[in-house]
Amino acid sequence: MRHFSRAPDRERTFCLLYEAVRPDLLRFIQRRAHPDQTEDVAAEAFLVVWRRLEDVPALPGDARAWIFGIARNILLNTHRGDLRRHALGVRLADAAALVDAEDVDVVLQRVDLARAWTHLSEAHQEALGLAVFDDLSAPQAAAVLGISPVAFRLRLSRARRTLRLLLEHLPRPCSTPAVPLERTPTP
Amino acid sequence: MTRTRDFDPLLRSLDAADPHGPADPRRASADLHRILATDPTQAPSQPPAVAPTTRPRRLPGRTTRPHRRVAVLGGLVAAVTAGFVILPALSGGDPAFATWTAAPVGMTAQDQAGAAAECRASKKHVGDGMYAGDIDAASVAIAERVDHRRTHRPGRVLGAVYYR
Repeated sequence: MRHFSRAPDRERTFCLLYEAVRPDLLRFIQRRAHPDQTEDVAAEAFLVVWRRLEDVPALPGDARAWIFGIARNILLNTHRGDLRRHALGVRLADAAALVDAEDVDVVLQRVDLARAWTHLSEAHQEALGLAVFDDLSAPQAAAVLGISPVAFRLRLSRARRTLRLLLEHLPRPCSTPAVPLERTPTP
Repeated sequence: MTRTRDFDPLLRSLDAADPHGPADPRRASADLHRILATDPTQAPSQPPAVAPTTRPRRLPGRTTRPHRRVAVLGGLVAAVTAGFVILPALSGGDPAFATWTAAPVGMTAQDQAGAAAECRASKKHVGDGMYAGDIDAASVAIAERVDHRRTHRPGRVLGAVYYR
């Protein structure tokens, strides 16, 4: 990838950035917001990027994380009117609806994991989501959240431990549940 | 299930995002052109989202301010209460306690007569003087001396008259 902020032409730089980051940004938003909001939030985030192009980090990975942070703040802002939030929960796919796995044990593991996930705090979901789904390094994820890398590593470690504990204490299902599993509320 | 093993691959298999992304090139192109058409130096109509290059403004400030407000209000309440309790004592006390003395003090006959006369004079015009005869004939029931420390009028005598 190119060093976006060092490209000579402002418009060209932005177009390169838009093309490179938009697909990942849409997925980032899809995990955290209602599907109808995805492209609107992405457009709003890129409008901020266009206005602040001089502030975009030089390294592509850092630039991507920086834009994720803008989108996160936009999503958090939409909730300030009714209930102020400090973290964005991350949705999982409906484990019961995923039928691609041939192994029944894998299906049950997914169901367990999805149930445990709903008991995680939004801050822990967010930390795990940034590391696992968005594939960000600790400094990049920390930049998204506006915290230090050390604080992020600590949060991620606690999130993993909590999820493991939840998995260990889940009652073993007798069979695949008949009722749809409760999903993480859409932020 | 081996629940303690690394669950990252399993978690990735539950990704809610579309792996191919929303494939609407028209929307992507329309958004891009709309953004490029805006003046980047123009201030947005709404406050822009906070970019994450700087740490977010400290939220704890929102919690310390109420603490400070409570402390100030508590101080004000304490000061007003102290004012109500201490100042009257320093300035001689509440006139409502004017007849109270720490130790009962008797009145001389002259003081009693003076108090009775003062009391009669103050009641003489009640009912356009229709009780004037009764008041003149009434005898003194109670006559007390006001504590001079409280009234600042040492030796002032009050009287009370009742009818028989």
